[in-house]
Amino acid sequence: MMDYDRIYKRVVHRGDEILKQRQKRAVRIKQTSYAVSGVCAAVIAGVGIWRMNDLKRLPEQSFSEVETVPETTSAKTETTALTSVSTTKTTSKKTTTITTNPTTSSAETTSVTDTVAEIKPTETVRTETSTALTLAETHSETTETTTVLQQTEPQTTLTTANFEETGTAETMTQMITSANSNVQTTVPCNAVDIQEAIDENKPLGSFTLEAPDPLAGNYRLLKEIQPYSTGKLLKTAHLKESRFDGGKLIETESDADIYEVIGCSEKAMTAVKYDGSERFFCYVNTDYQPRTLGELITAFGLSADSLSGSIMGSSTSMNHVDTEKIWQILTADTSLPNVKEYCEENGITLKNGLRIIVSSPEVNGSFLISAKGYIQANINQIESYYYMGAERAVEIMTEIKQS
Amino acid sequence: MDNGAEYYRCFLNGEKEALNRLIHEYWDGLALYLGNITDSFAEAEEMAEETFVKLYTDKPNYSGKSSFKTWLYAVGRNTALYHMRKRRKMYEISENGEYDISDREDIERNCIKGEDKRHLLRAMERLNPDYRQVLYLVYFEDFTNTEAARIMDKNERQIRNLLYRSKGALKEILLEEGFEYDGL
Repeated sequence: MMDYDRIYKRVVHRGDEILKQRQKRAVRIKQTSYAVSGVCAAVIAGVGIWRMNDLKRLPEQSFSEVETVPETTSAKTETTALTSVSTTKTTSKKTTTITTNPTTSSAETTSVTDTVAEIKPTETVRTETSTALTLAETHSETTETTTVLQQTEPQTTLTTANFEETGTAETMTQMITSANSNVQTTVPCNAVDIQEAIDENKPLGSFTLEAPDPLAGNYRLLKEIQPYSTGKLLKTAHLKESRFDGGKLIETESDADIYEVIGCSEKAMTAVKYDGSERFFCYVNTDYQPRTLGELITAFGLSADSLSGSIMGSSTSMNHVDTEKIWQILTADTSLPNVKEYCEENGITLKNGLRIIVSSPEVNGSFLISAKGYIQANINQIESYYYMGAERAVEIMTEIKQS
Repeated sequence: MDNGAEYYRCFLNGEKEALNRLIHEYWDGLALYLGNITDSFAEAEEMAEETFVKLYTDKPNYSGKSSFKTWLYAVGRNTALYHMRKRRKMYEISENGEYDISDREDIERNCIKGEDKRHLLRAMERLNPDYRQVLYLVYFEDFTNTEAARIMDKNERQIRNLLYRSKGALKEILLEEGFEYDGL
């Protein structure tokens, strides 16, 4: 039977000994530090003096004039306001902006003029610098306004732009936008033979999200996943699936919430929760193709932990291999491009090789490594190909044999 | 009810006796958990002792972000890994193995109620250390995935993966032994 009091006494005894030793060490360190502190102080003072000398040698352009700071701030604000109106090429100096002032007639114009007038008498090095900054901002604002005007009304004379013209431009943009959106919302309706509500035990086998939806693609059901594997709500959608059953076209549809799968890209995988159900089903976007090996890894949140530790060869299989090392070699170069198209065009198919099994709550599949150095990744039914070279394939095989 | 935080606060305020209460409350669970990391149960007990010595001497800060138990187990795990790394090459086999076994059985009886769970714990010995740890923390100590992740210094995703695989592996072992456990 455990004697906790005995354990407690032992802990206290050992603890006291350690504390006593630490105390002794602290005393020793203290004594040594007194001796060393004098030297340290001298070094610090020396470095300080040396740095002070450096500072003295700096040119006198440092921003030391405190009283100019509030003035430059107001100049910056007002100039920005002004340029959002003017839209002309603001070349380099304040004089340009002043010339455009008379064309506008609002109260703000007056304040601009005042501000510029205030800046001039107190021209210091600091002021000039801040003006330069202001001009840079002015330029970017101007470019933005120009773009809007060109999109909407190319004939607008940019040099005479004022408040009224800006207002017109904005209105026109909105009109065009709304006209476009009207066109897009007229979606033709399909004839439906039978409609059914979603059976919780029979989720849609597939569904499609049409462009321009950012999640556009054809989705295929993978499996049910746990709520804790799902992330934020991406969107709510009306999903439907048409299928033939016994010669009848059956269309099943339901509203559903589409969630991200934690650690995975929504371009590759999403979790769907149908209306009236609390269960989550994982769907993979079958149109998804990663551009590189790295993209595949990111899209499905793969890591060494995703490897099950099982390897299957043509005639043998192994368990408990060192997944960390295998993963390290496999992902040594994540910039490997996806060569699926090349493989398909050249009839390259991988049949034999070592199959590294991938298995996690959300992801299943494998990496098939051929002796020539091709990788065929089949992750959640998304197939992609990469070429890593025969040398690295041999490296992986050697590692597997060793483990 | 987790009184550990209160005991620890008392201990930090100078009440040495509070450490005794902590040992009474957490020794068994901590030793069993560390048994999943170490090579022998005697070593696990040593590591549990090192953990409490560390509390006594270093008085590490408990911020209250997790439960005291989660924090203590994380300290225990780090302490154990540190000491194991140090003495890996000096490893010695326990001299009194029989005492070791009986001692372990006592602790199991104190800490784990139910014969089924004890059978399960024994079956878990055939799993690799990470699988053992995660199963022990989640199914025997009722830690959440987040807490288990904090103790094992992993992220939640890794814990989910580990749980998924360890349950699979354990099921295989239990089926081999003709034993079924509903909790999995």
